[in-house]
Amino acid sequence: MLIIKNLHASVDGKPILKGVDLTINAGEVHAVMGPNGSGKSTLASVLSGRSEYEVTEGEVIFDGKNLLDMAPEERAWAGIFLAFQYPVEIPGVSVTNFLKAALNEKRKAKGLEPIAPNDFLALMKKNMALMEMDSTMTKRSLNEGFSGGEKKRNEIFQMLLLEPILGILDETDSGLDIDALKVVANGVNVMRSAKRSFLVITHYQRLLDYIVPDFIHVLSNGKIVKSGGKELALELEAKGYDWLKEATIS
Amino acid sequence: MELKTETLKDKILTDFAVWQQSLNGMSGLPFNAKRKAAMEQFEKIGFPNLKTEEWRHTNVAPVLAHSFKQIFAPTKTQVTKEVVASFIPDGLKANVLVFVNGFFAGELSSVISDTKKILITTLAEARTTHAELVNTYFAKHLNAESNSFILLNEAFTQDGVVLEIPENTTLNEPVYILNITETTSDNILTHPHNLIIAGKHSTVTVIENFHTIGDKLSFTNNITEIFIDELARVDYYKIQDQQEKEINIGTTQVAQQANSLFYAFTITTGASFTKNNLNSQLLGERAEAHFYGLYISANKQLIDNHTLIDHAVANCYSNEFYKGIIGNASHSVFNGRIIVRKDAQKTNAFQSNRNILLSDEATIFTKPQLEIFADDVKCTHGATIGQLDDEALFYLRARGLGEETAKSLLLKAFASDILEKIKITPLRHKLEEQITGRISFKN
Repeated sequence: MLIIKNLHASVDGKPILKGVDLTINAGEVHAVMGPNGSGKSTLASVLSGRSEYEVTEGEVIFDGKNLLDMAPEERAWAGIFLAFQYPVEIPGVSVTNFLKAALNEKRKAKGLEPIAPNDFLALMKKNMALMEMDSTMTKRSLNEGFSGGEKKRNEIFQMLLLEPILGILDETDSGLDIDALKVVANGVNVMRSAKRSFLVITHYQRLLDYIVPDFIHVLSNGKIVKSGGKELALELEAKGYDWLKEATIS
Repeated sequence: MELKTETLKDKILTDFAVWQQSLNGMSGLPFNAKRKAAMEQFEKIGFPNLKTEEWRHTNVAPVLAHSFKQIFAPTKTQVTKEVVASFIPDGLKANVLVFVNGFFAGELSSVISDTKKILITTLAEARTTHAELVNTYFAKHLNAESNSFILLNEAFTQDGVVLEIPENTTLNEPVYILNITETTSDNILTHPHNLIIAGKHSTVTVIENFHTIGDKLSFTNNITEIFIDELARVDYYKIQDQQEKEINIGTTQVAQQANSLFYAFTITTGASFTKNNLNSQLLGERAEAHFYGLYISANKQLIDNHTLIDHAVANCYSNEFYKGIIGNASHSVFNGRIIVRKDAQKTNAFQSNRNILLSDEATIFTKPQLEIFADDVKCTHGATIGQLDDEALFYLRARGLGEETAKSLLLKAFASDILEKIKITPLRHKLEEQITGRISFKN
């Protein structure tokens, strides 16, 4: 589904990703872990099309198409969803209106009619219950005045509605208490299927107790330095990242 | 350019002389003496230029370079009831008073409220039927001497609305003043002049709206004077939303007595050249003035909002909130003047002006102008100029909103702070729709 080959990317001329190779097949959950500054969030940003990041080398193929040629909205239409580490507050745009617009633009790109108002309401209601969201939340301005937990639940809520085929979770666990973390993880787990994949970016092993990955990769200094199964997370938790950094240098 | 400016001035002086000669016996009436005095003063001061304080950032020379015809008697109009209806927001129940080329068009107008107790008439009519009322209120607080356009209005005005709401009376339906200019064969200059007098503890809503029909230019030089007595409330809307053939220079002058409430909404999206002067004098204690404004300029439009809130006495409150979206090569000006006089202790005055520039060629000049002579007051002001938030734009696009849709959603959200304050639902809906159109048109 997603093939990343020798990906190099820079910000303001400073190289951050220095040759990332990663293949994610349909139905797989991959976790990317690594110390601060290793390039984890850059990887998420490049995949979602943030313009400040310049790809200097390599390619990314998503669902058979060259992802790097696509505008952010085209990537969303093709089925990529980025759950932001820091969801943006947008005053004056209600969650409901925004989601209806997003859903209908995606449907339009697929040649579908706009969703019927009743179907949309039912979809909202179902997923709000799943994310344990207050019914007033969707009437409020997008993320405005939301607590950290509300923002992250709102991200996963949007993902549930937009039904991507690849969900990228950028440090979704940061700033969450354990109850919110469970709700967020449950939202993701409900969506797991043979056709849908996830790329879970995290600094801590904690999230992976709830969203259990098929593969774990360690990113350090812009490269994947180690890959393994879910047991790698426990090893990292016990030993930290330093032994891997040294391993790459030597 | 200088030569052409003189040409319009000369033409206006000639127009006035010719018109006066045609008046014969009528020219000696008191009202006409005011016209002559205004014209004499205009002859002295002429038109403003970039050196005139109030016009330092708004170049009126391109407007004055055109020639305009003035009309001194009502003419047959092509405007139909259907055309009038198309200008009124769907579902709005209002008393619609239509003026065509500056003259009342009774056959196009409709008064639906019970008017047994209120006076709702025209200036042309009231000058004879209610001469004393007109004498008392006409130009009462206008600072005409140094203002060429007020002088021209006083000299030439033909008609307008005269509305008097007596004590303890509420007019439930708004009064919708529709100024239509027909410019099929000539550029037309008109000078509507309205008097709104709200008696003690009365309530009324007035909407002013402008439209041009025809390919030539229309220039509306309008004045609305509003007098709000104790405990009365006036809601006032000035909506300039038509195509870009209109030039509008207007002054709304408000005088507020104790415990009165004034809400103003100045919404400008159309017209090639607009100068909105909105002035309120707070003359009685605990009077409140709320000024809301939204301006959206595109192409080469110019929109200038000059406001003045004059706190003359103690314990009054004013709140001013203007927002602007400035696109393409357009230019906007906001000048918010607040005077707090020596006796106006315990004044609360708030002002905020926020702008979004959409292009490198767009310009905004914003200036808060506070003149405070009292020592126990609370005054705050703030002005911002920014661009669309890139982070917000990326967030929306990452969710699948196209770039244009995302931009227009953010701009609509920016404008919503002002629009959501509009309590007349059909009017708010119409404006929301139009503004959406303006914004997408710009991207």
